[in-house]
Amino acid sequence: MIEQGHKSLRDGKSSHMASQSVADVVDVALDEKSDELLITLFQNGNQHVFRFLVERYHGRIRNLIYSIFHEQEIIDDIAQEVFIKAYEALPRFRFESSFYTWLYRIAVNKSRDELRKRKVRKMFSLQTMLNSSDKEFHAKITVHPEDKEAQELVAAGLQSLPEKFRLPIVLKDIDGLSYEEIADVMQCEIGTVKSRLSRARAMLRKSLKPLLKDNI
Amino acid sequence: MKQLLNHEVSELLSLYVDGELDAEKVKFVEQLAAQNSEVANELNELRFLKRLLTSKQPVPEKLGFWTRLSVELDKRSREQDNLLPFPKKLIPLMSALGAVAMVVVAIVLYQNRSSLFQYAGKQSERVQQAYENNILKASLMPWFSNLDKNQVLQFALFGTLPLDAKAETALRVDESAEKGYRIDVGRKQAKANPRVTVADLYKQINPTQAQLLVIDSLLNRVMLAGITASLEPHQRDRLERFLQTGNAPYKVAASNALPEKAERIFREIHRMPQVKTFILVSPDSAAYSHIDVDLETIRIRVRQVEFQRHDIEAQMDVLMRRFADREMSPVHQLPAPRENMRVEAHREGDFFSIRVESSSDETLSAPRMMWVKPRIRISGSEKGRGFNYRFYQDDSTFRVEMQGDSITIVKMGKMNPLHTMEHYTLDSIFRDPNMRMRVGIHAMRLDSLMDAVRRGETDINTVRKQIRKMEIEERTRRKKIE
Repeated sequence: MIEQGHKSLRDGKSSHMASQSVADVVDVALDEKSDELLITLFQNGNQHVFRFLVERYHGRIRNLIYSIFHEQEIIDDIAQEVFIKAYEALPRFRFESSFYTWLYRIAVNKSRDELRKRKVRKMFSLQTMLNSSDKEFHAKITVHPEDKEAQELVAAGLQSLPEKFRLPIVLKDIDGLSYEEIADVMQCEIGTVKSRLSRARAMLRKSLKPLLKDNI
Repeated sequence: MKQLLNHEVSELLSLYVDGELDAEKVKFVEQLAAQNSEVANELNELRFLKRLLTSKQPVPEKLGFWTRLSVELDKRSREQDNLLPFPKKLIPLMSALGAVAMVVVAIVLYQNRSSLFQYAGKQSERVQQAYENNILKASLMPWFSNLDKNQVLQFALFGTLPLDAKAETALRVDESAEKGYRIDVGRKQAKANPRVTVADLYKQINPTQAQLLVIDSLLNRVMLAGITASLEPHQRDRLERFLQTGNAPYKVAASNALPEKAERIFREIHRMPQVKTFILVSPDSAAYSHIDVDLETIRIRVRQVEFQRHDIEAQMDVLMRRFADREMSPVHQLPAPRENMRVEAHREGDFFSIRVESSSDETLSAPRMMWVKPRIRISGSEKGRGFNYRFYQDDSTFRVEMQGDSITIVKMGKMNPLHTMEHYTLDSIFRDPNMRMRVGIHAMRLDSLMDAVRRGETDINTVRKQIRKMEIEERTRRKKIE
């Protein structure tokens, strides 16, 4: 039955209606199963269960990417790359961490790759350099804090942080990961996570000073 | 508060808002906040920030994410499959078979290595033969095939080259015009040139054995400039007279070199440090001055000249074609690209000519090819002497020493130190003590001559003549020894 379901995924429109409905019945049941069970099925040749993992986590991954880049246009491209990487690496998943921290790690690494590429591009692009230089940013939000919604200002503040400070704050405050999970995702010590988080918040407070002043 | 550093307090507050502190530390932080307004403010700000971040709106759901992803996964999977000409599960088997096949091929090659080497040798011989037959014998350049050494010399000296013996056609390059050049193509020569042989040339210039070797190799490359470069100044004078007598189109002193691409030259200039101090040297004076060179203006000017050159070349091409099609009168003048430029085609018997002339020196003046002396090995005790350049300067004089086969050691004296352009004039010419070896027993005579100049008993031209005379005597002496 699972094989039929897999066939329906791979063959798309050409699949048979009857087998499609049987697969749907099986899929409903699988949808409620744990990550571990789905991964075990995947590793045993039932690649179609990957869909349930994607549907379970793609919202969170998209949110994470959006929080890092604050650009709607690139969310799906990076999210797609994350899940493709996960699909390719899942046969080697060893259950040493939870699936979603593993998936987050992939997402963080993909985001870092993208940030690195942008850094190189930034070196050659005067416009980007002018738009995103920290000084310019601070000047902008300090002069006109009232022009933007608080959420947008916070997002802009996050963008101004260096990647190593931006990631822990996104993972902690937006995605709600624990310190251990953040350390696992970022592949660093918990102590590092704590100090980076503290410094990231200090930097964010500094850049959002006018906003905080008005609201506290 | 005093016991904790600021960043330690901040870290503690950060942990507090995340709910990561135990009861004891929570109590400590709350007490700290109650006692210190700065801490309380920071804590409030952290709470507010956390609230803002936590309440961040999730990015809107995008429909069809899975559909798009599954299509991409399917596509990549197909691409991966297509790279292999066999099912994936056979990869280990195919790898093993590949390794075995490579070993077999290696063994076969090793066993047949001698025949392989033979085959490679034969191929190499064939390539060598083809090269000699086709390239060295110039079958790729039919105009120059079957030319013997004397014909090459004839072309090098007088610029006439037989194109086709049966049709009696010849190509003639004429550079005798002072401000231009001329290319003639026709059935016979307009003016009869003396028939010369290599032996005639050798008889005239009387070269040494080493020079003979150089000239012989240069002859094969049709490079008159190379021949003249191999000669001593007095030999060059004789060659020049020889060419003049024979109505040769070339002058010995220099020949026009094709201009280098200006852009390349400018690139090189930019790489060099931009010096503003120059020494301008003329035969009897030298000026030491600061000059600002505006490279951009020069670049623009050179470009203009280059464009004009292309225009002229294009016009010449048109003329050649039209003349070949007999559409032209015997003398025809084209509108020139510049006012002081004349492009003219005319006919003399079966020859036609295209002449490019300029009434001004500045146009079309290709850079003069510099004299380059071939490296001729010096026998005997004078080994290791090469080109040497030294420059000395004090308040009132400077001295340039250029020591080579022909030496020039010049001492310049400052004439007007108050002038903005420091101007030096020739003070004297003398031999460097290091060169005594070269002039041998004449060293003392030279010194005494220089003393005589200083005392005003003789003039510098007399000294020059004496030096020239001594050089000839020295050369004759060496020749006798050889």
